Amino acid sequence: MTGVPQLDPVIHAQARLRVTATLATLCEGDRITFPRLQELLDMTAGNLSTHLRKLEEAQYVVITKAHERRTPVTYAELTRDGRRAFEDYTRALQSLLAPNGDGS
Amino acid sequence: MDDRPADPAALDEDRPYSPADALATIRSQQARVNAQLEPATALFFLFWGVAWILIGVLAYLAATDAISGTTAGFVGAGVVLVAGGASAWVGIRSGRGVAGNSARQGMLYGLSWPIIMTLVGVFVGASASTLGLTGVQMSVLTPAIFALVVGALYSAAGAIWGHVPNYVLGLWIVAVGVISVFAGSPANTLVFGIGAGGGMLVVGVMEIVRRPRS
Repeated sequence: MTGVPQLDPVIHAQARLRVTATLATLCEGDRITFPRLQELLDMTAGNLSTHLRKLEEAQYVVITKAHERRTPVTYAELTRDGRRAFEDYTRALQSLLAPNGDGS
Repeated sequence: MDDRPADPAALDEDRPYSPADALATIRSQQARVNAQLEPATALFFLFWGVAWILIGVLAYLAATDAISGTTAGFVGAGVVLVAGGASAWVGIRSGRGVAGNSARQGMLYGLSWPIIMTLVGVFVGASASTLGLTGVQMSVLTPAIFALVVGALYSAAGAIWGHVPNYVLGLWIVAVGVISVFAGSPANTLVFGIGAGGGMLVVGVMEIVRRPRS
């Protein structure tokens, strides 16, 4: 079998992990506005933007801008790759914590 | 890996971060998100449980001539508007800022309620005049018809969102509608109000006990 599982460095940082976990909680195909995401995370706008940009560079997140009633709205959404990366990351964490491979 | 100059957010990344801490972060953040994004369904059940009991009692008072049918109708409509407004507010608030498949699903389901209930009301009114039904016949049929439709919508919601109490409640309300016809006037109004409303209150309290706000 493989050795110690690698933790995805894009996700393995507290702030980005919280962003990714939040986006992964939404149903697949759902997106969330920047202010609501900020509210769910208690992060400053600047901090959240920085982390979203990193996730976007890794193609884990897609940012879309739309106009609703003439107001610009920014949405963030996990891509399919992002969702898979988060699942792999969670599995890697679990196997690190249960190294005997009992799957718990 | 890249070696770009550090930005302020990178400070956070340099700190060692244990797998156990990471897993705890995921769990607490997801619990928080679920608590804030899921509509407080317990509130829906409590609003409507109280509303149905009130409507049943009003219909009973009207059927026994304790109050006039007009008074019962107006007060009943007020109860429905208050409960409907309150549940729309809860539903819209919980879903704000989220768009996409599940938001559309929730919105379409939520909108089906006022539309279907209005059409059922028109159907009941039209049946009364077209078929020349008597007041007693109407007072037995009306609650039962509403119970059948409401029960069907609840059980559909339970099936779609995988919420068993909601599903069972829907079937229970359909059964209450059927039983109320056997009870005959005026007892049917109390069977309807207390049976359906009581069922909703039970599910509402179960929801509160089962899922405390995290």
